[in-house]
Amino acid sequence: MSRIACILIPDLPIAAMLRSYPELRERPLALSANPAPHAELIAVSPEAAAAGVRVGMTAAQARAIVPELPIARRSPPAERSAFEALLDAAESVSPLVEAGAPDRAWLDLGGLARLFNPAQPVDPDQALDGSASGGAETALAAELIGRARRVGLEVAVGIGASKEVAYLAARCGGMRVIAPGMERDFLAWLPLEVLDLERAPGRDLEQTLARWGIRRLGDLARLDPRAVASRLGAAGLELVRLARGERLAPFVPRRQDETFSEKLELEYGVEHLEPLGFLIRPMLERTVDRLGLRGLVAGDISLEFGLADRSRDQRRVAIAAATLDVRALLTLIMLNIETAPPAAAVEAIAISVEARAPRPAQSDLFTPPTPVPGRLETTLARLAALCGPDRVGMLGPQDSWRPEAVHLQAFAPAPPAAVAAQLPPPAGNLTRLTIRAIRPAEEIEVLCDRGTPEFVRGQRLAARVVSIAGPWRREGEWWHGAERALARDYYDLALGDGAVYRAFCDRHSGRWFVDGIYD
Amino acid sequence: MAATPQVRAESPLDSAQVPEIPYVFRGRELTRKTHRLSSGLPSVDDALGGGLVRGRINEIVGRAGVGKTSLAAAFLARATADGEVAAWIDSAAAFDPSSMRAAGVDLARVLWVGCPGSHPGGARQLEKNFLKAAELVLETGGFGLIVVDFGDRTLPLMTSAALRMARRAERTSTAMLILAAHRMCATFAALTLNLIHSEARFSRPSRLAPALFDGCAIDARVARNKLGGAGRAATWQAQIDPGIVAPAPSPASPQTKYFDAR
Repeated sequence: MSRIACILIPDLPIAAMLRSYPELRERPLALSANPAPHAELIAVSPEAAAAGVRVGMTAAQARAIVPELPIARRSPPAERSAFEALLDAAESVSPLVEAGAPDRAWLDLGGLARLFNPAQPVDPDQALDGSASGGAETALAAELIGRARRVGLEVAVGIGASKEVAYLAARCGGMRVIAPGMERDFLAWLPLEVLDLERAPGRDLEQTLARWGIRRLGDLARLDPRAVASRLGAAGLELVRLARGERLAPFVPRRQDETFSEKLELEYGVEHLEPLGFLIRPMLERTVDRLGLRGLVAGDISLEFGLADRSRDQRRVAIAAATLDVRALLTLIMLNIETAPPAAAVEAIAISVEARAPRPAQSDLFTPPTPVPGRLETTLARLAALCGPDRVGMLGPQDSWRPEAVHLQAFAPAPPAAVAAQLPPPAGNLTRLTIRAIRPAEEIEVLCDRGTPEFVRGQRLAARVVSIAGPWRREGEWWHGAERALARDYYDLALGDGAVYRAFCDRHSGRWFVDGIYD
Repeated sequence: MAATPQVRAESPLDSAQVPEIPYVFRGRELTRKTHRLSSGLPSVDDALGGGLVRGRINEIVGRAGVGKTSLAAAFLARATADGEVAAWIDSAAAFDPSSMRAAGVDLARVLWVGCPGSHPGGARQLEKNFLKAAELVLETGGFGLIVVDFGDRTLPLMTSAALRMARRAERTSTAMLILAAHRMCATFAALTLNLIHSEARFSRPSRLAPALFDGCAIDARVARNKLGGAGRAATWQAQIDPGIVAPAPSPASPQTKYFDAR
């Protein structure tokens, strides 16, 4: 027998607004479709309702009751973000999640009993048929509420044998577990209002049932289904089956999304970078919390700004090393915005983060310690924010005749081999001479005597040439055309300052450069 | 048949009988700070007492072109060949991957961090970022060797910055190697190797052949060693191609082997 949990956001517009602006919690709050004083309220918080404010009042009427009542405009993007966060919380508990209406999700709890109540021995028969014990389900419901709270949502959780029973249990608020076989007892006392018949297509259905004197689902369950079907049609028959706890809709798990989005609409335009950073930071924090719940880390970030001139500003921030470090991610985003600020004031922000799997690592007693992948990725992201993403990574030579040609790759060292690589045995006190590169190559002035360099003068150099080796000619890249092809004569110049420099003469221009020092 | 280490059952704590397993340290050795990172150059390792000290700051100082980078590359090659991960914090974008690879460095195990040449906040902010980058890498832990290349900077580090680095190196047991023209960390460096002199060597295979730059002969002296051994000297050669054995210098007739190519 399957067990289904329903996780429900009781009042989605209010919950989404409180998630975006946590400072409004525990204060009266109302939402309207537009900021006009005659606009009707479409949602009110429990605190506002306790003060007497009701849905359907105008903003002016509500302010007459609560003068300081903040009335915000409803934000569909924030609601979508809240729903995605709800799905993340659900998917952090069960791999099988169905996305329902924008305020609810269902989870298949089959086989989860051992995970959430490990102290209690699990009957193998129960484990096989997927049923979970009551204690485990209560613990699971508490866990779901806790995880939703981590992503900024207050939710209700119901657990039952079918999606409908679980949803109706969640509608009761808090957490409620309906034991197997007790569905009809639970449903019998529920009032018809929990079915939201007034929102259903057939509004007259509610009035008909009221005329029949049916107030609770138990009354409905006692009716003959065939008689109800002949009078109310298919909708009536479904209601009776629902009241009897018979399963109606199948469970259809959704495919897990690998992009995490947060959206925010502003009632005003933001023109400066600093307040933009203050707005982006909590969005990033919420995204990182969602990623953390799923055991993922943040990869590349797509930003989209809705601007005051009705245009959209889209940009992509490359993350060299996936991380959950909000500070590093925020710094990279702000660097990107600083480089090319939006053309007009920002009125909407959308952040999409690509999820990546963290790199696992298993240390070995017999190999040297290496950086922990998670910490290394955080460090790389911070370094990229500090020095620039093009200055952190694995620097390697390019397949080119140009000595200065290098390329940067993401730094991801492989785990050390159990048997260390063998360097050739040292041949006495000999090592290889390396070069300190000078990037970009520094132009120098070379005084020559019959074609042989005699004296070198540059920005940081002024010395007599003591010894010379060369020239060594390098030619290549003819496919770039005669002007841009590589044609250089290289020299090793020992100067009077005691150092040996690698210098070259560009054969196209005749100019001299120094691009390295043997050190 | 290969001999296997034997442990006597009646004296399990007899250290002479306990097989040596690299990276597995016994008891008190976990806190010992004398683990060394070898360069593979016998004279350098002898002078330093085995190599760079792990968990401490080590300095290699000397003017530009005296051989600091080649010696650092030797340490880097040894560390990466052993499977360790290393980092090179570069203040002047002077890291040349081609010659490092030729020196035996496994570039896939070296994190390169190049600090930008300019910053809107000025030179002070630039220096701050450079030190911050070094500290970030140190804090990560797990790096066997971190090379901090100060380029041609002449001013020593502030005491607080040097102290922070020394403490972080100690916590992570990383061998921290500083390359600079002068001593940077004052009393916080455990070891300072001063490269005194470098003699460039040119040769000509025959009288009419073009001159070749063979490499340098380098002299160094241990200027400071908190673990003992200050004042020791080392001499080695850094060659363009160590596979070709250069002729030994002859003081009596230097012109026959090493000469002014002009």
